[in-house]
Amino acid sequence: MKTLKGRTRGLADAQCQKPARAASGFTLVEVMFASSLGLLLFLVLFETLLFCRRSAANLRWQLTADALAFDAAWDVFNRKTEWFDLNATPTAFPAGWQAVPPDRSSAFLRTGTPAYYLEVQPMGRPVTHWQIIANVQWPLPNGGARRLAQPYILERHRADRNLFRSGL
Amino acid sequence: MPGTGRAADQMRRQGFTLPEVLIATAITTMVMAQAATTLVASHRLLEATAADIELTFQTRALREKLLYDIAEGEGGLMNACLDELAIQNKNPNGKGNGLSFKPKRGGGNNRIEVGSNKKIKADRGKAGWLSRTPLVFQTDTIFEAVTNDNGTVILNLDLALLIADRTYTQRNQTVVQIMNP
Repeated sequence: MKTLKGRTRGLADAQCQKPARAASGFTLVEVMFASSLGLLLFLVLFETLLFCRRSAANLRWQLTADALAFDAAWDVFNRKTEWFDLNATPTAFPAGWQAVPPDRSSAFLRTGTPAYYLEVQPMGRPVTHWQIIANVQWPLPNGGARRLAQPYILERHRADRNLFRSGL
Repeated sequence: MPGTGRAADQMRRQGFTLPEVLIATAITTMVMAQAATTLVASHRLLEATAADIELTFQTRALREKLLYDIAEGEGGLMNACLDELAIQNKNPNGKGNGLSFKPKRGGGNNRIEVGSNKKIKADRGKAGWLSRTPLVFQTDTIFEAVTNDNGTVILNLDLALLIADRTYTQRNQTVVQIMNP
């Protein structure tokens, strides 16, 4: 039998061992690395879903707040002119925030109370018209609050509007 | 060492033992169960998010249609006249499933009501304009007059979106200012 010696024998052993190592599967490091990549990919996907959910909630809050501010501003706008003459002064109708009734909308978080802001500013001297400003503030998950980027501003001029209205 | 290599080769050819296979199968089952649960939860999260957006936009669209554009050239409820305004089929609380009104400009009297399909429709107006929405009302009594204030009507937009056997809801009230006597 022909024997191999020295360097030649070492090479033959290495060549014999190579296929055996490849057939033995992945090493622990390779598996860990692949698992980490898979986990990272999954977490990115999950975070994307959560981001979409947060965006949807933001959209819902803003649109609801917008509708609320619109209704609040037009409610004042629709009052009689004589109401404006008597009450639309900073002392009689002070600007301020009031809580939104809970049955008004289910869109906001339950963790805080949404509020709306109303202000009626007499314009001109003597008063020629009034400026109605409405805004809405809603609670956020982090405990803070956000307001509309732009408040609703309406101008109410002296016109015989809503003479039929009995309540206001 | 040739002896060690041969032993390892022999061990490899023997395959896994039964306990090894059982443990591996148990671990794989646990991982797959967690993955499946997480995937279902992700899908539900995505569905709830899409439903949320749909409810928000459709509610807003319905609000705009009712306020400004029920029938072509006649506007919406903000163009209605108070004299001809009446809530239909009132219950003891003063809430009803319909509202008849006369637009200040445009044709004669019109009526909007919630039909048996839980969607709103108008007697006169573009066909399917108000009902072309995937949302359904959760209540019949959506129209309500504000007591002691005959210039305001409340619309209870209590809407639901049905996906398979799941129901997503959102409730909003719209206050309609009646601007004309």
